[in-house]
Amino acid sequence: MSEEFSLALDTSEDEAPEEVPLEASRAAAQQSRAAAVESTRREKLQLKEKRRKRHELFQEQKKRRLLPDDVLEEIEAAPPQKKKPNEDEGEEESEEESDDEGVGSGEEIDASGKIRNLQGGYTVKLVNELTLAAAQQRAAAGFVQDRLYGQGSRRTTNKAILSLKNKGPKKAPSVEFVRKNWAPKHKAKAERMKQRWLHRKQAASS
Amino acid sequence: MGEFKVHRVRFFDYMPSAISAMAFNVHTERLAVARADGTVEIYNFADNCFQEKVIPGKDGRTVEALCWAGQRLFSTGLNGEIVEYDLENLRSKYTVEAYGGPVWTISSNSQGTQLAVGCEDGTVKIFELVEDSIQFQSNFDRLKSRVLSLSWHPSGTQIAAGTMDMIRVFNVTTGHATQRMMVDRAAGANKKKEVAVWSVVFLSDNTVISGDSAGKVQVWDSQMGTLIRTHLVTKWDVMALAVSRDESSLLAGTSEGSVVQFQFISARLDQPDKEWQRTRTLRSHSHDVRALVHTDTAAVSGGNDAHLVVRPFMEKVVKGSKESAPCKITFPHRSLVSCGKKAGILLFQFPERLEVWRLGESNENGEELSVTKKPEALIHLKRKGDDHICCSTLSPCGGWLAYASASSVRLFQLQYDNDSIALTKVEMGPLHVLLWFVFFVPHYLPSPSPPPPEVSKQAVHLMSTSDDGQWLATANSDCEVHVYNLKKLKYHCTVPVYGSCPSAMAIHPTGSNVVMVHADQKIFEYSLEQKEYTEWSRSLAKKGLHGSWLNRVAPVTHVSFSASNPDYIILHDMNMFCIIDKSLPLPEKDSDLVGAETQLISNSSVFPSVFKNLLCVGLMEDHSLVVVERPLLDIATRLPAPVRQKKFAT
Repeated sequence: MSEEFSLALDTSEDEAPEEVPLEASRAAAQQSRAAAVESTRREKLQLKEKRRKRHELFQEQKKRRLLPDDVLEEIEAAPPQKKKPNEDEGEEESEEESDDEGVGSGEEIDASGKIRNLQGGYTVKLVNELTLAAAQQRAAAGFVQDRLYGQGSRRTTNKAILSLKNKGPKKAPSVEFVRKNWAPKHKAKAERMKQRWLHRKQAASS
Repeated sequence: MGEFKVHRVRFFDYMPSAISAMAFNVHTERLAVARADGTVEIYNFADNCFQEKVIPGKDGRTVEALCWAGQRLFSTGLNGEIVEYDLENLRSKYTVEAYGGPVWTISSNSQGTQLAVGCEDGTVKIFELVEDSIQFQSNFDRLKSRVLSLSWHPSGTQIAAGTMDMIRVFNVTTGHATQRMMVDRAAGANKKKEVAVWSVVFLSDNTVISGDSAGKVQVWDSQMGTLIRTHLVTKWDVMALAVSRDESSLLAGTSEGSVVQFQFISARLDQPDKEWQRTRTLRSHSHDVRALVHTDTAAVSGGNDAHLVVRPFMEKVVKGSKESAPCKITFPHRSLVSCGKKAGILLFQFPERLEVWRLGESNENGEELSVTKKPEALIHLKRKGDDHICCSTLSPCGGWLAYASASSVRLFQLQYDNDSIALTKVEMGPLHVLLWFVFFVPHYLPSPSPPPPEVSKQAVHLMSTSDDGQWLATANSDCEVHVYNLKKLKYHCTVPVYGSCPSAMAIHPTGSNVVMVHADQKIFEYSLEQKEYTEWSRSLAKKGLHGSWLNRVAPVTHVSFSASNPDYIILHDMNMFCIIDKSLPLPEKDSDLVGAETQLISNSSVFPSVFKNLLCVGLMEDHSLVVVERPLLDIATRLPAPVRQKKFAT
């Protein structure tokens, strides 16, 4: 017990502080600085590596969304179609036979070169791009629709409102009491079965 | 009068489009109505609310707001463009891109010099009106959310803009916001949803009144930015506001279909201080009210149920006068159905397609005949291009079909081959006249030789030819009727101009007279050979038409004749059709029209209210009558969803 007490007394303020040589302390400080720099450098390298990997991953995904390179090359190489099929014959088209299915169907093709013919009878056509303006227009229309008819709008159906008028002292049936057009496909199939059965019956009896 | 076999046709699925915006021009008394499919219609309130002009819409163009600036009409839509309309040629003059995303609202100042548009990206843009065009002037400070409504102060120095959750007041010259008013959200479950301020009105005493999606009409002081009064009008949205010219009365249109009126009156008679008090409720509609206009005498409202309703205020009009009658316009004031008289086929015009049907047949006799051969749809023709079809016609023999849109006119030849039908396109030579209606002639319609110098530039809205192809009569919206001789390709004569616009016109089969019915229900008959009104027409004008005929609201949309009896004139409007027999004596002015054995044989005296909601009544060559009906109940079942209404004890 007395040793514990004496431990506290050992490090008294009467003693002089430890003598540490300058070089040792300098070296220690340098080492710590270097370690700090090293750790930040390592972190930066790690982040860079991470970023590079993600970037590559995105590129890979983007590439996957596009068509394979050789198909794109072929499309680029094929010259764009002119407006009328007669002019096609005049043109020199080395690769492909003019398979005019896309052209001769009676559609109006503008001469901006949107339709190209490929070898093997395929036609490539550029579809109208969905522009940013169209996306904004759809979003705005969606906003109004959501506000008026979306969640929490407490709306009902036209048939319910019209049937409401029929309720009262003189009750009348609702507007669409019987839906005659339910299950049209099933009914058509049943009708065909019936005709077939009748036909078979007639054939058997005759 | 004889018996008629009547084909009652209900297979025309005509669906009128919802009304999305309205604007009233006080000086010319014209109301511009925009529909959800982009069509803009102009009604003349000075002429019995007649639908004078129809500008067809275009694919991809929706109209969210309309405004008049002087005599010029502008509209904006969700495609981000400002469109100015050419009211003489009935098409869009030009479009200006606003570069702010979809444009929600447009408003002009009271001087008619500047236009303000509110965009999706939160900017309010000011455009200057120059001759024949508009020019971008400045942007205001950008707001965080979309600008849904705008209102100019009558002096033109301030603008109130309604966005999500707040109203901002801007100074026009600096473009900075001077005041901000926060709108309370709905109580209860909807507190998490932002409030959309659908409409604002700025009054000259610096009061701003707003209607929002929580169903409140709030009155604000714009100088202090404080709320004066809140009125909870409905549980659903308040979509439209309209204030009268003297700023004493305000109308608010709700999603329930009711229009609430507020008036600036004092609470008690002896007290001098006034405030906005709720006075009456007009229940005119079954679906949302999207657009409102407050004229001096009436409240005009339109919404998702596609009816245009004019309700006059009883304290502002003389009781019993023509003005005091409420008016409900559902069907267009022009014919969408063409009859091929000799072939028994009908052409139905939709904005995006045409349908040709063959009438059914029945071999029985009696009151109600069962159909032995069902009516069949022969052709379903989709239009080419983006512009909606504005007019179409079928030749009487059924062999030629033509339709026109704002950009092109197309002609087709139909060939019937026992059971099959073939359609071939025919190339047309250049046509100069912008056709509004084409009643067909057996050969091509060439451009007419120089018309008389006094012809106004307004578009022709009615055309009629005689059966032998000799005469062509045209009527335009300036109330002029010109007659041309087609065989010689020359102008023939002009009917003396009458104050009201002709709503239906036809040339008699014998080719000698043209019968015109005007929007104020007056009937005239003009002889083409003698170039003057006929005897019958003069005696009718002298005696005057019967009061109950003149008090009818809907205009006559079609005139036809009977081949067997040249004295018959068959007229119809939306709710009735009747046959005028010229050989019988004219009815007395004050006598009871129904049941009287007089000239005007109305169907209501013979078949009481059997044929209603008529779109077309025509007489075929085999003396059978075709009545194309469109019951309002069928339209009502296909409208968008209405709000839930609770009825007592259900």
